[in-house]
Amino acid sequence: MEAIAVQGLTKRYGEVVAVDRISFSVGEGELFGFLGPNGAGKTTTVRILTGIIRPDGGLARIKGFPAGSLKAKQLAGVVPEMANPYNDLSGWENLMLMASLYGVPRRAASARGERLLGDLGLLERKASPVRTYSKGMKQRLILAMALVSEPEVLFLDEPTSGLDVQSARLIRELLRGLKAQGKTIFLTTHDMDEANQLCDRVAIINKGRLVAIDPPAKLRLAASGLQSVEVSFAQADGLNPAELARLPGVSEVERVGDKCRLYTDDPGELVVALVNYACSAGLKIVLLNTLAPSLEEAFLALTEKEGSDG
Amino acid sequence: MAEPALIWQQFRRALAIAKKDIRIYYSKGPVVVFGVLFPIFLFLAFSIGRQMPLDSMIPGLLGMILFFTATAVSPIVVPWETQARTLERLMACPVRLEAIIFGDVLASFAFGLAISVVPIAIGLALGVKVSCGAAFALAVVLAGLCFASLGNVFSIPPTNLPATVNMIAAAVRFPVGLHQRGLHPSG
Repeated sequence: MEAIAVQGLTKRYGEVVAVDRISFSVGEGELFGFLGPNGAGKTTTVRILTGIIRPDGGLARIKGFPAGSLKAKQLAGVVPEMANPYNDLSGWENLMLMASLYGVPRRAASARGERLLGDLGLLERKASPVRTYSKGMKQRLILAMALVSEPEVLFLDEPTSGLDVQSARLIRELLRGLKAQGKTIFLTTHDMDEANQLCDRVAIINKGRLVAIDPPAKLRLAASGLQSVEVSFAQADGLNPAELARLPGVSEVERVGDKCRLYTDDPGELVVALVNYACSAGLKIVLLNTLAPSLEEAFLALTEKEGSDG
Repeated sequence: MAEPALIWQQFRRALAIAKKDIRIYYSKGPVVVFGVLFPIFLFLAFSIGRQMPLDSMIPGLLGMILFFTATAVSPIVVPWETQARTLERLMACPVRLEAIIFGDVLASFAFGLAISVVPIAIGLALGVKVSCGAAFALAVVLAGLCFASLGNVFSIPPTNLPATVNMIAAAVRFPVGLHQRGLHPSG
């Protein structure tokens, strides 16, 4: 069974269509990334899936239950983007409040609470009021609050945004551990490197519409024209961008220090052409690299393309 | 889940919300000032210099304290939580909206009842007799529940500014407090 199934989901705010008939599914045990620029519809989608707001159209199901139903909420843990723990309560009280709201028995809640706070480096400060916590500590506590019910599906909206390096790393490590345990994780993030490192698949949303869904490696390749070959010759005068631009399949040439970067749709063919060119011109190749676009470049290409199409 | 089991489950979660509200909101200074001291001084303003029998004064004081305490905080809990960004987390929990509201009502109700012990104790110490204990207890409980629910009604406007809701609440609470003959110490 799919852990999350979304079909034709739509949400409007007056004239603005925040989410426009999007459809996708997330398999059990999958770590699914949801990327998009600001205002693309990421948070609106998460808020619908976690039952905070209702859609205007379409269907969303969590483990077969309608999103927003008590059963769907019971199965899900949530780290909302705009959420805080209660500052006047201690970390422990916040955790036990969440356990009560999810119906976790007291003894199990205490055992899980101790373990989670220990894993997240908060055990020593568990009795301190949350108002004395740093931003990173608060975010780790919110994650602990989401995990105290041992949810099968975890929604995280920008969980590492604005955090110090150590807190962000700790949260990423925890997410890897949860994935290894078979939890389904729906992660929205601005951090391309984070998505690249963690996610099995990534969906890109722009202006409320889904632009692409694929594994990060495949998404990078999908951004055709962004693949390139870097070349450098032993003879400095051999690096002639105008001549290199005439090679077959080259769409653009960029000089980068003592190298040239040649953009192409077919790096394999270009490598052969470059070797032939070097042989015929009597040049010695000292560097030859094929470069795939980064996820960030793919993201920009896909969202800009969608923007110009729209 | 069968309906009675679901109702029990949601009741327990509403109790957890009520406990949270009492810990967070009902121990703040402004609550004590507006919920307890204010009705006492308002009552004194009405009663000092008048020849009123004790068995008229004490019910008036009790009514005012119960009304002002039970409606003191409940209007601002929702906008306060919206502003503090804690409401969204609560909304994502497996708790019905009715249970969240009931939890807020329960906290107000408990606070109102706890504070109303003060005028009851004063009355009993001064020798005021309760003619029917059961009817008196029922009246206090019903009044507490109604006032606590009324307080929650004030938080309906979608705002994250407690001051906005307080203004609406004050526009209703003061005229009711001053002009309801049932609460008026001279009424």
